[in-house]
Amino acid sequence: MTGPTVGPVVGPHSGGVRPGQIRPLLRMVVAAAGRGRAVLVAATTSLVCGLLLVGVSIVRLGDTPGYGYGIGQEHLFQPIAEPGTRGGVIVAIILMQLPLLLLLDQAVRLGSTSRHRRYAALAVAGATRRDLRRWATVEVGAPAAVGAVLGVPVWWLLRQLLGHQLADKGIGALVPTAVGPGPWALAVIAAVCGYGTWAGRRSGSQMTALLAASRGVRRPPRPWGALVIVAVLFLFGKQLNGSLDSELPLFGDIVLLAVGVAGLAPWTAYRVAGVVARLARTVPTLLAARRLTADARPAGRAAAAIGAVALTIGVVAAFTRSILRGNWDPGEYLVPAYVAAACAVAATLVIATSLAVHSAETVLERRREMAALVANGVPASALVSSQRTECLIATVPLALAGTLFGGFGYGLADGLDAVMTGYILLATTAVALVVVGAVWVTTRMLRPWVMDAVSLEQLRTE
Amino acid sequence: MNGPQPEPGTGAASDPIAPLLSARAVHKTFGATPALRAASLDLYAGEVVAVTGRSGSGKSTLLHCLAGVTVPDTGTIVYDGQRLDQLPTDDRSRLRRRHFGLVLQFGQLVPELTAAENVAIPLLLERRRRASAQAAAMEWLDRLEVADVADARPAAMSGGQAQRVAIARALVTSPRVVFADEPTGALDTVTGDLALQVLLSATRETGAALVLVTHDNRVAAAAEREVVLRDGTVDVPATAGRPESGRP
Repeated sequence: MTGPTVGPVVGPHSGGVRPGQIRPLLRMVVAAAGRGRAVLVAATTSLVCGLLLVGVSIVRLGDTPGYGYGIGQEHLFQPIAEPGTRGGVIVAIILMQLPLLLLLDQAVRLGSTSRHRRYAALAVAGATRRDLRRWATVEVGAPAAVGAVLGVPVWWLLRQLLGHQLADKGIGALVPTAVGPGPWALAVIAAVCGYGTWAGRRSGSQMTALLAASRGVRRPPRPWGALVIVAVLFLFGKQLNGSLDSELPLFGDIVLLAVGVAGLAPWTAYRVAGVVARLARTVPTLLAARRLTADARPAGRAAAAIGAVALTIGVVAAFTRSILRGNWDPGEYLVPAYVAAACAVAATLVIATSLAVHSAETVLERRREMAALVANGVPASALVSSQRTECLIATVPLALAGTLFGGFGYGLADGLDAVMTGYILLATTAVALVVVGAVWVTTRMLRPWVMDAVSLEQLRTE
Repeated sequence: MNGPQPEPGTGAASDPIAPLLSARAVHKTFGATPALRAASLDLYAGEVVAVTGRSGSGKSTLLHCLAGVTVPDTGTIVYDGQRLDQLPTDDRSRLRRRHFGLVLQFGQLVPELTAAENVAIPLLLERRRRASAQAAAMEWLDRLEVADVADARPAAMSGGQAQRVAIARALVTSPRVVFADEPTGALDTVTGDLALQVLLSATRETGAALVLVTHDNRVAAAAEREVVLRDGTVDVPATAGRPESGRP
């Protein structure tokens, strides 16, 4: 009720735990962390690393003679073989990292309450903030490093499945087979290792900040992402007025826009949830909205990824109309666009899963309070419903905004007409249905855990 | 499963001598550990009963069985002429919401909700309008002298304030029985005494029966009747002495 009671974070010895004690203690702390998080962190970082290695391979095509004009040593998928669209593929790969990084973030937070308690107990036993940060770094950094190294076999597997196999079938390789990441692989592995270590250290810092803060109250998110978005729009305007010799600045704008949206999303989720909480008439809506206002960041990040995905689908919808009314070969342009849309839908499922896992974990963290609600007559199904509502409040507004922004943004630049408007509205409806469906499926999948967590057995006093 | 059940309060209940809530030969086992062995207890309208006993004697389990939180393995629980142990889960939830109130050792308020929202939850579930539910919650918070923390979250309250809010949540639906599991267990002596007085006076005002599970002799002394549990069995006759006198 009042959060964990925490003793002094800084122990009597300024150096904290003595060096001789660190190895057994570290082993004990890491062992107590459980395998679930380690496996998920390693799996996520291996996928991130594998995809980045694919991206680097594609980048290196430009330096390889014979690949500049699609007459390569292998049969590549058209958008990769074509130097003009290759940049777009690389941006798509970068954007595909979003749901994976989100999943990594979720994996880092997994079991955060028990970790919080464990660290609070260690702090009481004399561990310093520095010790706790170091242990958190190792807890996440070590599996991230393993995952980064495993990224190489992942890349190799992708090359076999999406490279050789697709080339042999005449579809065209999605992963270059003749050109690999080369020495850049080491840099990618180091970068992924570094990111994992940073994520661990950040979680450790957040943990120690919470231990020191008064009863674990978190600061509401700030709308700093809006500054990035305004800056990008300003730059984009300048670029439109000048001459665009290269697509690189445009891709830079897209990546920065994604960063801005990601930064703004927690604040948006916080504000939307605040309004919903004030207007809520049912218990599930009230619980969902208040959970979001209490900690909007994880849901906001997931919402940002959904927003980015929706943006892609909105652009694809407008682009489809643009191609169909022009004199271009629809197959050449639309197939890659639809592949991108399919990836976006798959990403939606990953994001919805990570969000639902986060929401379920919130319920698990509050199992005694939730069980007390059930004991006072709140049906357990209302708690599952609140979990679903929480995911929907976080994702649907940004999904709708993303699709409309992407579709109409592209449409305004390329000539919006009534048919294109229809396509965009159709895509918006489809995105909303996909998001709602993904949330429904994932919360349904997690229902047994939630029901178990709020079972009245939780009321038994130890 | 059992067909439509009559709403309590309309059946055998109307007999003023019949107990409001009655447990007979209740057995409950968790894994291989028996928690209750043939425990029996009668509770009459408006009375205050303390259930005492050593740790592990089955006090909380008996309270949970009486409140319909847990279903006994064997034995019967009858509330107002209705077999509580045979009700489907949803019906038991509804009954708890409308007829019972529960106060637990640590309050167990939802940390993200304000005090007023925590108290309003049972009313919102009864489809009361938000403003009306909020007003009723405020009335109870005011009555229990914690209106000043109405907009605060549990983390910003003291233990005593949080427990009063939990009492308000249990009483806001005007229940006929209030169950309190170690309501003062997490509080210091002074705050615990205050919380107990609040609980006693509030249930007295509403005419609700009160079942207090406690290992604290001072809390037990505040009850009209004490039921002692030993190894899952009621040591002092459960039906002994329907109270004639008023409350302390």
